[in-house]
Amino acid sequence: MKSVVQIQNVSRTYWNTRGEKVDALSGISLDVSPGELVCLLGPTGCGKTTLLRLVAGLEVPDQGSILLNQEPVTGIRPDVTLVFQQYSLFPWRTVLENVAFGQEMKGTSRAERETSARHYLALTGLSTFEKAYPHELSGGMQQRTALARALAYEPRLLLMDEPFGALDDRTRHRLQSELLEIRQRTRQTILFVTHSIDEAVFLADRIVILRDRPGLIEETISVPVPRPRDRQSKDFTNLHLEIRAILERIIEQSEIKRTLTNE
Amino acid sequence: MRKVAMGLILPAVALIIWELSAINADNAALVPRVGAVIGQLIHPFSDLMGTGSFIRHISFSAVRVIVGFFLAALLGIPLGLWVGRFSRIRQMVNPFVEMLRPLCPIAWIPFALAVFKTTTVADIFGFHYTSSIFGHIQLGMLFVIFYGGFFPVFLNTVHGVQSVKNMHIEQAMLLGAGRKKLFRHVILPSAMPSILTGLRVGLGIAWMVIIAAEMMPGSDAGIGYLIMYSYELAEMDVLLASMVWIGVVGMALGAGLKMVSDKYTFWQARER
Ligand SMILES: Nc1ncnc2c1ncn2[C@@H]1O[C@H](COP(=O)(O)OP(=O)(O)OP(=O)(O)O)[C@@H](O)[C@H]1O
Ligand SMILES: [Mg+2]
Repeated sequence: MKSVVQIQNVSRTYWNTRGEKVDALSGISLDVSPGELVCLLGPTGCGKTTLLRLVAGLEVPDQGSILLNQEPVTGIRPDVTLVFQQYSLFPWRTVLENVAFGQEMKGTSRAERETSARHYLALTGLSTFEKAYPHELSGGMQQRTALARALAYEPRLLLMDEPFGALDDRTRHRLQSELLEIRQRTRQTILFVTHSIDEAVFLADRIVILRDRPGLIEETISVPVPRPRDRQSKDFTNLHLEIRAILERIIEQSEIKRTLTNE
Repeated sequence: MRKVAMGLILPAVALIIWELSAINADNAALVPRVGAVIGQLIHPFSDLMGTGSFIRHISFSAVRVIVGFFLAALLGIPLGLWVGRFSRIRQMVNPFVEMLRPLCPIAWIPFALAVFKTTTVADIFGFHYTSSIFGHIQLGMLFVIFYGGFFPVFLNTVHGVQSVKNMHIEQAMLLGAGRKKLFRHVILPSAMPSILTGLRVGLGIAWMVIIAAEMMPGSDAGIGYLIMYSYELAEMDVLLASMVWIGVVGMALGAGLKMVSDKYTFWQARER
């Protein structure tokens, strides 16, 4: 099967305001197949958001190339959308109007786009809030609305940047299960950023572990835990511990590096 | 109820001081009694010194402001949206705007009078056969109202466009919004609170400027004219009643626009 995304040897460098070079990503290669759910996992500042922004076409890589459905990414594309790390609902629109936004831009009729928006609001458990405005919602409800909005757009590729990061455990677990259910029905291809090991092991077909400064791939793990996944199962906890060890090693190494460069 | 009562304390004190000074001065051509002014206020339709009623004068002032300010908004909003969107154009326009902006619109009144003389809108369009209200809309007055109203509208619109959140723009583009739809569905609603603030400030300034403009020679009607005329005839009760009317109409204009603007901006005040 042909990949939905092919990331080939991509690098991205930023210059911060003090004129110092920050290698956010250096030589990343990664393929995502249709219907696959890949989790990017790594310490803060390792370039996860940067990678999603490159795939979304919001930024261009300094080196390397990104192909979507075999075509190079040169800008924002209509078949890809991104759920931001921060709340990004349109405050002047109701929940329903927010969720229908993508279909409205596509030119879908009002009746049709509202039907589809209601469908996704039901999936994310927000039906009773369709007339509410974002400022009337809790953080978790806002994040669910953003998720429904992205799903209602029906993209070929869905990029998600720590979408459940700000939620409490219960809500997060519920939304994770809902996301898996939706994916099973729609075969949605998803590239999902998280810094939670638990979340990655629960969701992913494949986990890509990144290291920081410079941002590169440390390890790729195909998750062998059978679905539906049980957090208490031996497979689950073992993989959790294994990944924790890898992450601790990464953080330790970058701390050593930091103290060395500071001296 | 309690709040209303609290708000009425200061006006009541002011009225008492006024009334006491009026009794003390005992000269209606200097400080009229409160009752005399109220007597004028409760007869808005009766003729004053052969110039027409309060309602007539207020209508003329209001129509001038509405026409002049409408033109200011008509140019200021689109221009502001355009300039706000492009930094190159902003660089070109900014120094010029910053130079003109602090120039008080009232300073332009004599110049406007010299350039436009007493030409009215009716003169331009040739509606002389009827004595319509157009015969009382002097171009010079329109010019200064336009000038006074334009900058707040324009500058607030520019500011509104510039403060649209980048995240909202990116999010909209990632949901398939092209240039036109982005403008209509993100930039315009984001900038709307700021645009409406500009309209409110601008309208307030326009209402001040028109009073000054109507006090100039060549003016034949309007509430500012009525103030000058009643001053010349030492009709202090009419003069003070006119001032009350200015306050009332100004407040009504502001409240009207605020009602409209609350409809479009309720989300902003409560955004967290
Ligand atoms: N516009 C920018 N200018 C300068 N440096 C930047 C910029 N954007 C990101 N960086 C740097 O690039 C690195 C990667 O940032 P990125 O936002 O991709 O991290 P992240 O993995 O998403 O982190 P987190 O988990 O905290 O969200 C960081 O060190 C950050 O400081
Ligand atoms: Mg991030």
